[in-house]
Amino acid sequence: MSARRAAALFLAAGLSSVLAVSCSLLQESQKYLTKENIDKAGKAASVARNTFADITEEEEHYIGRSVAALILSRYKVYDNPQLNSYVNLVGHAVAAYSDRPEIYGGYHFLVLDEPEVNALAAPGGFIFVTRGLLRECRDEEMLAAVLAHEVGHVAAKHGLQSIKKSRLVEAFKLIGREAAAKYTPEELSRVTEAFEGVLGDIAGSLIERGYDRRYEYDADVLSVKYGTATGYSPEGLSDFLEKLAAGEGEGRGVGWFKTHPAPKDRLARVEKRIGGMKTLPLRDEIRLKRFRQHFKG
Amino acid sequence: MKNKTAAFILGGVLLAAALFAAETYIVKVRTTALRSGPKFFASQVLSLNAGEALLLLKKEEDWLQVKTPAGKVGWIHLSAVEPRKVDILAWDTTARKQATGSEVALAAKGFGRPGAKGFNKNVEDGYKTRNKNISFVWVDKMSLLSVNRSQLETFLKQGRLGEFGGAR
Repeated sequence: MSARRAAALFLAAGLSSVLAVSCSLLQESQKYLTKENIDKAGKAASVARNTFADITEEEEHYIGRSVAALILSRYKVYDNPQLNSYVNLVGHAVAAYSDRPEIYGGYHFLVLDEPEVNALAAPGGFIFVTRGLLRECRDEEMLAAVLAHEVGHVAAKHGLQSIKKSRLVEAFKLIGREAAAKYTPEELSRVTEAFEGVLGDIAGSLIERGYDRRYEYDADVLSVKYGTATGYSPEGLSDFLEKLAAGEGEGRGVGWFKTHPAPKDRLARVEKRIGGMKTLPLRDEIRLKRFRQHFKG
Repeated sequence: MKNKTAAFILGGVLLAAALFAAETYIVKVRTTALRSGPKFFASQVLSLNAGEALLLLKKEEDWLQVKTPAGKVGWIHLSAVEPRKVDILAWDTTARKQATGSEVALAAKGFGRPGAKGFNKNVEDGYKTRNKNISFVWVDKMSLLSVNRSQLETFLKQGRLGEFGGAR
């Protein structure tokens, strides 16, 4: 037998063994896929969860719903179907060209009947803008820039990142302790308490203190990115910040002025970023016209 | 003999590669669409729900070409799915009788099956019972404020945005 033939046979034998082992592993694994074992695997995996990144899409959705309810317990809704529909269209346009176009329950935008300049993004895609903020917008590009900033917070999961780590670890432990499908009343009570803690952490950041400054700068970068990808001029954001900077004295201490870094600081960073871009989408008269139709008076 | 050996080796390599390289993805959003091309405004092949398993065929930037267990092929955005490499094991009919691919995937995180644990509808109901002053009426109304693909496409076209875009 030549050395080459011997090597070929050796390789063939090796491969056959690998295949035999893989097939037997496959069969063994199939045997292992019983309901009981899946439950056990689920339990082990959920115990191992410990950071915001381990929060599932469905969990984020339910956290977001309750954070949205907390926001709506403080602010009145502007019940104007036409305006809310237009804001939803602009919001969905920028969300479609974001890093996270698909989200468990979809994106939803709602206008709040508040004079202060403010916008809030709860996890799970529940986004709010005040009438005070809308009054600062002079065209669709500016509105799109603000909504893209909020979509940026959702896409980057800034809300979930504001949950205290210790609280999250504790909540995951509670959730993962039992393999049974449903909570007992006692378990439900403990998990609900943990859930309240999670909501408190997020609402505290979102409504009271504001996110970490670096998250705001990040959301501005994402606003420029998503806006440009959608075809909006990124100057919508710099124009909006310029307007806020000019009127900063009037609203200081409330809304965005309280929870966001100074508009001047943000403006400088945004202008630098836009300045480094080779081609920019241009403003379009068509979009200005439809914006004005929704903001008469 | 030489040719037979070579064919055997090649066959073995291909089969081993197929076994180890196959990647399964699980739909992680409540509902989404399998599309005919790698873009949002491509036509819909079929509708997909959370937990459905998909076999990866190829990747193109943020889009994945996938195959459903029923053999339908289409494209899905990366943000709608999460990878589950182990699910090749659940692709077989025998295994599916014991547990669906989605059950395996969701169980890996300890959630997802109806009534399974996590921050879910049960917990929201528990929260509502303890906090009767917090109203969910507008949260539910807000959840109905949605935009379908056709409305969005019209809006983008009218505004010369996205892939229907204007001057740069």
